[in-house]
Amino acid sequence: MLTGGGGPGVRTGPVTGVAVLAIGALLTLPGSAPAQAPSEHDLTRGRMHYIASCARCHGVEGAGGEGPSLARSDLPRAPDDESLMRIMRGGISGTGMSGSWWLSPGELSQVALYVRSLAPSGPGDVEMVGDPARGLGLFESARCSRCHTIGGFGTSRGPDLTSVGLRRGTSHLREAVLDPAAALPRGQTAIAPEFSDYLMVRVVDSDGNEMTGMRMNEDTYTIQLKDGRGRLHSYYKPALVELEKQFDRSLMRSYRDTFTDEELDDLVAYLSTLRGSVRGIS
Amino acid sequence: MIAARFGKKGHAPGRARARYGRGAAAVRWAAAALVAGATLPLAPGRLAGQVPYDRLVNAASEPAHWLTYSGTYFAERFSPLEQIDVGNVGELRVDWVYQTSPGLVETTPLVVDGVMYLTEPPSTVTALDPRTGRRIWRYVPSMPDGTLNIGFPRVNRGVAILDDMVYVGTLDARLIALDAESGVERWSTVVGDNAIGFSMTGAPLAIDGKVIVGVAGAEAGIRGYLDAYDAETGERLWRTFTVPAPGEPGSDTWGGDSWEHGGGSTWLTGSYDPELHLIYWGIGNPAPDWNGDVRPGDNLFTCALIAFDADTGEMRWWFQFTPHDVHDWDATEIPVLVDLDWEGSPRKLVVMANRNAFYYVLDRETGEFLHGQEYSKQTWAAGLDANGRPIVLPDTEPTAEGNLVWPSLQGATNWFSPSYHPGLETLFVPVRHMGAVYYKAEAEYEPGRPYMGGGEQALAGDDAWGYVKALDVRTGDLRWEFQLLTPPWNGLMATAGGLVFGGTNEGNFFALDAETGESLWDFNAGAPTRSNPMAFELDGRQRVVMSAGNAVFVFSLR
Ligand code: HEC
Ligand code: HEC
Repeated sequence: MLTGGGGPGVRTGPVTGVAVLAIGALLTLPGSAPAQAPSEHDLTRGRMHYIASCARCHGVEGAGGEGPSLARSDLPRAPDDESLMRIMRGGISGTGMSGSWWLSPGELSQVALYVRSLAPSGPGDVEMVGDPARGLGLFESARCSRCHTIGGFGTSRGPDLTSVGLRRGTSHLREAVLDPAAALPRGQTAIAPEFSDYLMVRVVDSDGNEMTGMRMNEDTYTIQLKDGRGRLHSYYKPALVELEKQFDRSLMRSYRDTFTDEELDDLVAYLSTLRGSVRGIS
Repeated sequence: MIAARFGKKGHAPGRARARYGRGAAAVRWAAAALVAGATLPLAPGRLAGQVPYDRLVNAASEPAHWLTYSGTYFAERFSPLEQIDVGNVGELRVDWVYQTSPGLVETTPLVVDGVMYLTEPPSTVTALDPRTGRRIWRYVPSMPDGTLNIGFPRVNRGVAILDDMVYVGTLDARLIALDAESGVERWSTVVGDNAIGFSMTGAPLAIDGKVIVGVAGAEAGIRGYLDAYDAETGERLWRTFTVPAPGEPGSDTWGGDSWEHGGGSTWLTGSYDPELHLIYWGIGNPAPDWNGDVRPGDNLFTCALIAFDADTGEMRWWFQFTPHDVHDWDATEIPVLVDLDWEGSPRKLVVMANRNAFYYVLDRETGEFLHGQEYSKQTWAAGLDANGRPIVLPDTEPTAEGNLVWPSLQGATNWFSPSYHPGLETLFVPVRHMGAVYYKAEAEYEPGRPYMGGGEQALAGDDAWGYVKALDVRTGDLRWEFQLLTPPWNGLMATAGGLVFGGTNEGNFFALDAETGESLWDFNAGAPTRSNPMAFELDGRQRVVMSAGNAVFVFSLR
């Protein structure tokens, strides 16, 4: 096994520029419809290689772990298939993302197919029932923009909805309006992937002052909360008397009793059309 | 006995050093050796080394320096320096910051006679002026672009020093000896074939004329071993496989020819008892990681601690923590050697907080299991039997659909170091409180490719967190715990000043009161901490060294 002297055999990277182009053709090109539906066989092989090379850090279903969630339609570091291939092969230098260059070009393209399949299905997967124009009217009359931004307009107390139609399927959007507290979104906080976003936290300081705000960031020693007026409060946790994280609460109330079923369809239809620019790296 | 080892003695080398002028090398070596009470091991035709073996044996008596990866051969990662203490730690200031090459920084620097030696990602060795952080030399081994690192990032944890040479293991699995003064390469030898996944990330262990190194690569299906090389020439002195071939003892614990790719890597630095002349080295997981079907049996000597005869590499004894592991719970964690009164008589012990969430106390002369208990949440075993073998619960194996088990595959702890405070008889352990859904998949061996057979989906975010736990070294009982926002990747160092230094993924460096766990100091370094703290003394000031992101920070009181 030992070769002595000259060092281990040099292995050249398996993917040539030509090969990358060939793979690109197999995959969905940015902004275009899929060239062809991925075959079941490719997906299965892709999943197998993904499990061996990526699941350790990204989770088998892409929900994340040591690495970020890949079950998202917007991967800021891999907005198109070319960048996805580059990242898979070479990793992201300076981070824990190491390249899996041992995968052959064909295997890489299969993994890429599997990774893209992890994204929550967009609105195209369910037949559109509501009327987006009426939905826009409801969005305005209910003044959803008190807490949401679209295309840079509105107030950003809740998630930006500019591209929510790309990131989320319709069932998720419906749930989000009916039962916001059921599951807080994850993955956008400044802390780390997989932390709950928009978490409400109540603190009491040593003078007895109480404050409830939305968690913007946290570490072992400090926590940063945003109050109802958008002001930032920073606390040194060891000095607090109380710190309560309210996981079963959301700043957004349920609109279950506000909208009829039909109105809800309209609203969801409108949200599904929000497919603006892909969010940058937060 | 303990007081003698960590008493306030041993500052003499520091004073002598202050007088060293440039070019006074011969005087310097002689002075250092005299103070250390050592004889000069002169190799024929050569000047005596800067760091002879005896200085390494007596490392605890020169607290101004940090001579081995874990501080001493006993691997306590304890600094006898006490200038920084519970009363003044709040006054710590940054002396300087050194920015490394990009990548993850897991290095523990060494500081010897006015020079700091550290490694930068992936396998670069750098000598710095420890007063200013200015670079003296840098050695960047040339490595093929496609160098494999299957199952771990492209990191390096540090160098070893012996006589006038510095040793580093490289990502492409070579052991390289450098001239400590200039960084010039003296020799380089191939330890393993990187093309089939062998790699090196741990700091070598230098003992009497030998350099001991282990290999990584179980996720590529290597068959692991531990090697010893002649420190002068690089010639291999012995190799002991951690997975037995047919006919060798333990081979009946492997089904079929599964031993050929059975894993059992040796990727983290072991400890050493110079008197018993035994090396204690933790052995990694069997391969494939999560699919044990192809390797029925206990899979000796994976997930075990082995005592190797330092001269021959012969196994003196072994103790397997996790028979037939299917969760990737390597037993490569730092084995800490402690001498204690045990039930009325002095006994030489080795203790380990294992990745599998159990804490173990063994007799280090015989390997006898003396005590063990859980120190972190685990859901896979009902406990340990009288021999220390886990009583494994049913239905805790990975499955195709996924099976939730604590701890996660990164374990209740991992490569980052624990620290032992001999005065308090307390072991401080960085703990990862995290469960994972384990999956099993097919695994087919192909050379130089991942061979793992599954994966995990860890509970993350607000569902996982970390601790610094202070364990009674005899029992593993919890003395105190300090909670961390996320499961840590940074080691700990206790000091005679009554402090425990560590860091968080969010970039906090901290110092806790070693007796109570109360936090006495913290500093936002602005990037994840992922290495081990160490300490040294220079110009009469104790310095504490910790890394965050790509920056090595040095703190002191001034
Ligand atoms: C050793 C752990 C590890 C392995 C193995 C790994 N990744 Fe990653 N990955 C990471 C980390 C950590 C990041 C985040 C890097 C950063 O800081 O931006 C990441 C980032 C990514 C991103 C960018 C996500 C975004 O938000 O844009 C993609 C895509 C990705 N990985 C895909 C993969 C695929 C596909 C594989 C297998 C071929 C893989 N990774 C294997 C750890 C890993
Ligand atoms: C008082 C502030 C507030 C108002 C008003 C509000 N929201 Fe929200 N919304 C939030 C917050 C905070 C979240 C994130 C937490 C959660 O999901 O519960 C959220 C989440 C959402 C999500 C989920 C986004 C995702 O990426 O998962 C959607 C969709 C949404 N809101 C739509 C609406 C609509 C439609 C309205 C008006 C009918 C509305 N919101 C009114 C605060 C608000």
